[in-house]
Amino acid sequence: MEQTKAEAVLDMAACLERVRQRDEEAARLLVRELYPLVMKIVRSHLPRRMPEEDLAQNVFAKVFTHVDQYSGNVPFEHWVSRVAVNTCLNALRAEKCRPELRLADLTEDESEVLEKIGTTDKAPNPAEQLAARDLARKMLETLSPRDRLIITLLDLEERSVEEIKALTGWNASVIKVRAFRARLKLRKQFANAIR
Amino acid sequence: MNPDYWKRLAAMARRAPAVPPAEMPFGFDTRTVAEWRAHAGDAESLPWIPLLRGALVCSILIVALTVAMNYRTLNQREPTSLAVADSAIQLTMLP
Repeated sequence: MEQTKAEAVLDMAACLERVRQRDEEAARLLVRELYPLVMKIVRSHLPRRMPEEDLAQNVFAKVFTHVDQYSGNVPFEHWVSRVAVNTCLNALRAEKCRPELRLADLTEDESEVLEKIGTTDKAPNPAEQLAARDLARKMLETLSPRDRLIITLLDLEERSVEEIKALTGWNASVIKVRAFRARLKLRKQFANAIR
Repeated sequence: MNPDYWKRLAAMARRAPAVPPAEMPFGFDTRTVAEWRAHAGDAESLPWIPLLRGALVCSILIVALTVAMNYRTLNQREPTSLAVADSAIQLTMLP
């Protein structure tokens, strides 16, 4: 098992070296290897009107353009994750307007979830869970890109502040303060939507 | 207002069935590599850009320094130029 892991790391290193020498086949291998990781990040932080494939392609373009800057101090996947998060953040920043959450814009399932959250503590069924996920995303769209990123990572993906710090490079206290303020905004959104 | 609404919603959302792992669409790797190659080509075809940028900055600095050093001279009105102009006017006006 350990040998296989070591081989995989060695392959990645060799692949990177070939990519640095502009080997296209190695670049293709790297895309295939990292696609699930990049797509997972892209899907979590996708702007409203941007196809996920386009954003993933932007991430890979940045990875290849800046591959010489990868020093090897952290695993390559961590470095790629950081590039992906920053690319998503830039794409979110490019969105000029952030919609307000209005009850009229919610689907029937989302409205039911909203009502249910306010009234009962019953365990939700899978359909309600999906609606809750969509509703949570809609609520997150009302936040600023940075706040949205932090709350998604903290509350939906259950990442620690340290992990977010490693992914974004932001200070831990900045992350905590932003998370606190963002949650206040979300509570306000809830109050407005339920009213 | 219940302060735990967001917490509850997030907990519900986390329990939602995971999205199936993304399968790479056909040709995605080729498209991505082609784009990389195209942009790399752009960068390689313009090796003079940093050099030109440096030259532009240097020339702006030289112009600014020259203007600063000669500011007094440029700003000073030549005393003799007025006298010459006066005498020229007088000569033309006199019969």
